[in-house]
Amino acid sequence: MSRKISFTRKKTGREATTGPYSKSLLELSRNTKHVGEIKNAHRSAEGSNPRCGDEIRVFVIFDSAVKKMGKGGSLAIKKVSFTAHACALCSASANLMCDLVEGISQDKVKGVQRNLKKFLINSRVLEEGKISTRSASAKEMAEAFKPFAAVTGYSSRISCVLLPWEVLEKALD
Amino acid sequence: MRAMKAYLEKETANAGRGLYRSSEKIAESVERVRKQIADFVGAEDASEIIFTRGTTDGINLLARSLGETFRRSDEILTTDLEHHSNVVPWKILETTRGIRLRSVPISALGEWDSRELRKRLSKKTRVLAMTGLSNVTGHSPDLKKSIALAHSKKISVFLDAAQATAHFPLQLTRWNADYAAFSGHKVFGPTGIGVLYGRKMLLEKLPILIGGGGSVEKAGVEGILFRKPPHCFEPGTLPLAEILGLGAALDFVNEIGWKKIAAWEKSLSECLRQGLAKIPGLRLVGKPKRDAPLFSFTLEGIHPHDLATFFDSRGIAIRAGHHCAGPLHRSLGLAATARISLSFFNTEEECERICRTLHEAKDFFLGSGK
Repeated sequence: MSRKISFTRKKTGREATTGPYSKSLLELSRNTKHVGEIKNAHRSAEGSNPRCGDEIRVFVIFDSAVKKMGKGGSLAIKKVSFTAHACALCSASANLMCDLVEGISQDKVKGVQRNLKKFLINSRVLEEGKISTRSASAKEMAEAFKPFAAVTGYSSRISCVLLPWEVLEKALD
Repeated sequence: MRAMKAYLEKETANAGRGLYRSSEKIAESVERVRKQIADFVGAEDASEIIFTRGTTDGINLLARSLGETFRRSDEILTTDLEHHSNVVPWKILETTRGIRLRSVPISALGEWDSRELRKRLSKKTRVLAMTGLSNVTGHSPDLKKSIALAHSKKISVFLDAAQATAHFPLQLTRWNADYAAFSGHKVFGPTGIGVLYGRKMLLEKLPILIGGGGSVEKAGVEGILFRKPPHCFEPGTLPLAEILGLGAALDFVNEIGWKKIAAWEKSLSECLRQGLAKIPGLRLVGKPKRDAPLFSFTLEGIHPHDLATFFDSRGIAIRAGHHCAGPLHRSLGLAATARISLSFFNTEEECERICRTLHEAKDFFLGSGK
């Protein structure tokens, strides 16, 4: 039998936590309401985070009154969906994104994304009034972003949360 | 750490510059570590050991220098097992030197065999650049056989020894490797230091592309007289504290001994393998038996990134992603894997804790009973 090689080990003294995964975030990640390809989408784009293996494709349908798919003007978003091979944070963020952007005009999407980014860096920005509230009230945003509050302690995972939004931005450009 | 601290606190002279005792002392220490490394890797002579900043730095140095000797139609052969650091420096030569980079494909089990290698070694192949141990599958190719095959066609062999150096003794002269590289931090030393090995007669012919003080006997606008290898490849001040740190790390490994390390790692590997086999939905990358206690895997329903974050919340550090081995992951149709990499200081209790944590992760992300 092999003999163990002994070393003095320090215990980390770390208590088990759920990390960035709140119960509401996990539920959001499992939601399949917005999952699926939209055939004949007005816009679509794909993106990935090669460092972690998240891959996502986003599909956009604008308001049915719009016949042409040209750039310029601010079109209202009717529906957004996605397909992904991604982590729970990315999937949850994609679901949140689809909920938040449906019904708003495309020029407001960047504003919501900016607010989410600020929130991920400092989840207290809403209380501190450092967020623009053009697209939704601070209270609505606080409620919507709440599942992601614990992500602020995990800077390496912020890119997972922002990936769907970056792909949506690509689709809308 | 103690070796580096002693230097930084008490003896911070530069090596080989001053005539005072502390400069001579550090110069002697550097050459002593060079000799120590030569013995550690089975080199014939200390002059075959060039200090670099790490494996990637060493491969870039080698690729650029060798590239000067290549013709436009020449080929470099690498494999789909390789770390990006053993792909990118060679790939850059496609643009700068017009050579062609080809790769030996891997099987679904994440390995390549000598038949595939033989098929791809051609009259145009100048270098076979291969890993000594995959940082994803934990497998080591048949090094002696592969090197012999390449040499039979007059092809040089570069060995990426970054992963191998901590798990089994390198025998570079016995294997007939022409060149090899590894990093200090992969063998319990500090970051910022590595080694490029080259056979003496090859280093004497290797073009010198970077230079400066310390690498020359004489220099001026009229001409340069370079020092002999390895010093001609070491311009500027070397990372002296890091070199001493690497020497101390190798002392540490030698004190324990490879026989003991190999036996314990084999035991750990088997312990973890058996535990992982009991986890439903867990798929290992590569064959179950491996040459180092290194296991990359997917777990159904849980993204490797989420797994790694969950493990972190339990005080265990595992990797997730493609581990800088994109070609391997693409070959196997995998976007990402999780990786557990053990060493001789890990314990069987930790292996059991890893398996428990995997079960907990399944409960957490998928719900109990899945």
